[in-house]
Amino acid sequence: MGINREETKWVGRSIVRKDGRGKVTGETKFFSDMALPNMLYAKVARSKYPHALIKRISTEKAKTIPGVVAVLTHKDVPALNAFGILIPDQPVLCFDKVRYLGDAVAVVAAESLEAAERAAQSIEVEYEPLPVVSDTLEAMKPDAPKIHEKGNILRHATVRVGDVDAAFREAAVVVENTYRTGRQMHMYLETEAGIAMLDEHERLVLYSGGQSPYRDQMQISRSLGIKPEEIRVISTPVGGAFGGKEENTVQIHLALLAMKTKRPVRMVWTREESGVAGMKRHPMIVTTKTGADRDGRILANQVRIVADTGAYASLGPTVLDVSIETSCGPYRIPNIDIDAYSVYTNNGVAGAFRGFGAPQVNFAIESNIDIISEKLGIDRLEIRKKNVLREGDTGAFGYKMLGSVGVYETLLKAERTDLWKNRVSHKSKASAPWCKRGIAVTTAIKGFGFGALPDFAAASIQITPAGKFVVGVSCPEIGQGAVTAYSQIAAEALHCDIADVYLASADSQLSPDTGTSSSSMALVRGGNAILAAAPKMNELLLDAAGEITGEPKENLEFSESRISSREKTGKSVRYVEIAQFLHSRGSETKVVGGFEVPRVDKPVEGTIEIPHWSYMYATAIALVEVDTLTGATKVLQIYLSPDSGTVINPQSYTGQCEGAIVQGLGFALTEETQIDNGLIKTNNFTTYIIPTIRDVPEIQIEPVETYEKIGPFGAKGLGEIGIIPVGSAVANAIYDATGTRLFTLPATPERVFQTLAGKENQDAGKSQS
Amino acid sequence: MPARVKVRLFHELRSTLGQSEIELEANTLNDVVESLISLNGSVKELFFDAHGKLRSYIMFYINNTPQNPPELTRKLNDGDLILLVPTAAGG
Repeated sequence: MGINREETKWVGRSIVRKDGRGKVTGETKFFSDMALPNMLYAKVARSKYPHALIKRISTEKAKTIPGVVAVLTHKDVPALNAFGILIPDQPVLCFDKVRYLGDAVAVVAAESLEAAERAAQSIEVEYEPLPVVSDTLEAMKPDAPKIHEKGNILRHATVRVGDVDAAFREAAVVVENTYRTGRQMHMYLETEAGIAMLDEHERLVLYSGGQSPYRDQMQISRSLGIKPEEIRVISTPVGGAFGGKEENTVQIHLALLAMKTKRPVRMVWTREESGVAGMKRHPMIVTTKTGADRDGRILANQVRIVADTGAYASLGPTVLDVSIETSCGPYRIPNIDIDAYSVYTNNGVAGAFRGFGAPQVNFAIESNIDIISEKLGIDRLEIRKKNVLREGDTGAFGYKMLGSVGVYETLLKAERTDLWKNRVSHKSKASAPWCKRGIAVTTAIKGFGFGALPDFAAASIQITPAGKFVVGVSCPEIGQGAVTAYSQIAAEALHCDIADVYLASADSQLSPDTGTSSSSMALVRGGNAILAAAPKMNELLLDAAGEITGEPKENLEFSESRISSREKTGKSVRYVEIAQFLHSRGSETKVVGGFEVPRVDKPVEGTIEIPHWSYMYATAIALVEVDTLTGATKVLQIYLSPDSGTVINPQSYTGQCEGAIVQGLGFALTEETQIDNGLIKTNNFTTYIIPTIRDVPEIQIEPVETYEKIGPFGAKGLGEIGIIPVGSAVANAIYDATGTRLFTLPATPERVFQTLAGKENQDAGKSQS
Repeated sequence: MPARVKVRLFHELRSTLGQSEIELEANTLNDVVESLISLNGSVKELFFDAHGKLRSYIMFYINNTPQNPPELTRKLNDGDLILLVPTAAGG
């Protein structure tokens, strides 16, 4: 169960978003809106080929263009000419080879954007084109052209528990299918952008909307060879991220140019540039073989995953881990055999994207579960209830579930909905004779945080002379409502009004290292770090109040921005008075608290970060209508019941879930970056179709509030879980509507039409029973 | 004669040790690690698992060259710059 809301004043309530007004009115200025006096404009000269050797680079012509102030190549990178969060294998500026069209060969700063663009176009590069590697299965062959010296396999991982072969022999039904998913783009409203400058002490200052100022600081420090504290990074506000701004984009280039020119420099990627050079979701080919006994109990799951990580590693190795970890769903499965590959190609770069490898494999396991339920004649929701994990169970990878597990309860809630109870009636209401309706229910699991990898967060709290609190947290607000949630937690812990809490947010000079806004973990990292700092601040306030009132500390208690005696002496002192007392004496007014996310000592053999200490869960129901004449699928209703622990802010919670669902509908129905022989053909909103308001269905969110003991006030993460079951729910609902199963997402009208016509799926799967 | 080296620290190492750059005398990378542990014992768990095996999630760089996997017995020279970057990523 969640918290008792009668005992909290701020936590658990729909507090209006602190950043809401500015963002909805347009008053908030993002860094792509920002201009500074004497500012230069920067542009990247990118590769003209998806795969080629560089024979010669000439910048002479570019330098002669009027207004050009600096033209930098690899020779101007003072230290490590590479970046990448996990494995720095992507050149800051290429020197010997290019591996995708987004690769940067030179970077230019000029007095005007036009001059910068002309100069970038005037960089002369002599290339020797190489064969383009665009198919992962071809890339894995020993004789495939090598994208990196070490070959095209970035990572190969295997995990085996039990004996799948024996289990398949015992199974009453075994199904095996191959599923494919698309290359989804983040399509944030604000493209990758920033401004770098030197302050009055010649120290580098970078303003760039990202997901962690300290990680950007690390990558800049590593490439420029300067101390991290000589680089100030401010990462907020951010005009959307969804994982795509975890990796370095504009940061190092801007830092190089500002150091070189000693002037402010701005770079804003165009939409097309974002499409070519920005991160993508890993397309995957997932072959899943699942066996169950006559009662529908899953006995074994064998999975082969091939992920297209594109030209560079970025977060590909850990994305693969999450795919492995979630490929067996939230189910108790005694025998598993997983064989997973992350493969280099010349298809852009894939990295972090909300769900982080989970939506792809969820499509596979949840489709197989539906096929099994049909073969066994067991209700689709019932078969999931039989198999889902319960508190204290051992998970598929052989470890005990340590966190709260509410997935069964999410299924119970789904079962009681009108949508599910009256599904036959809902299905019968198609809008035309050639339209068919279907309903499906699917479940999902994902860990929050970095699992077995180090995950540490710090926060600071300072009391101002006016008795207000400045809370330093470096996890940026990326639209998830973190600033408001942190304020709620701080106000609760500090016994003050939420209006008295100010966030010093995502600034490496003002906020300590709280980690990243990623992996659905910003709330837990920042919230717990605040809760670690708050008792120190309260102690400091109590000591001062004791001195001011003359009352022993143990007689004092907190109440609404004041500390009073319990003894009815009438002695009471307001925070503002305490603050003035502390400041006038030059006493300490700032505290720092730290939180280390619990983790296992050693990950599951063959993995990097499995298991996580705790997991989020969700059950989704989708009602769709398929136009059998055109193949167009309309999602009419989505129900989502997440177990994300305590709900800190119901309004933000709903917003996060709705956003995740709509992004999931894009993954399910329309979003697929078309790449032909390394050339991206869909890099703007005209050709790359994301859901609009017209596509948003009726959405119902119904949380299951378990109490997660490692989360602030029992909260877990939330940001990603809502997207994960959407694709599988939509695909299974299309099957429920039409009797034809899709093995590839997105379910574009063309693909659905072809599938209904029997022109796809010829060899998609096999089953035995 | 041990080499005089600079060690630049990031993420959890920086937070735990409270500084971003330390100058040390060290013959090898192992000496560097041991010196850091002697400054604050809690970082030992970051470097080594319960069986004393070096964890794979700390990236070592010597003079901008990644050491993957790091050879802890590698001899260091005067003026070497060593970067220690714990992985702060995952999902």
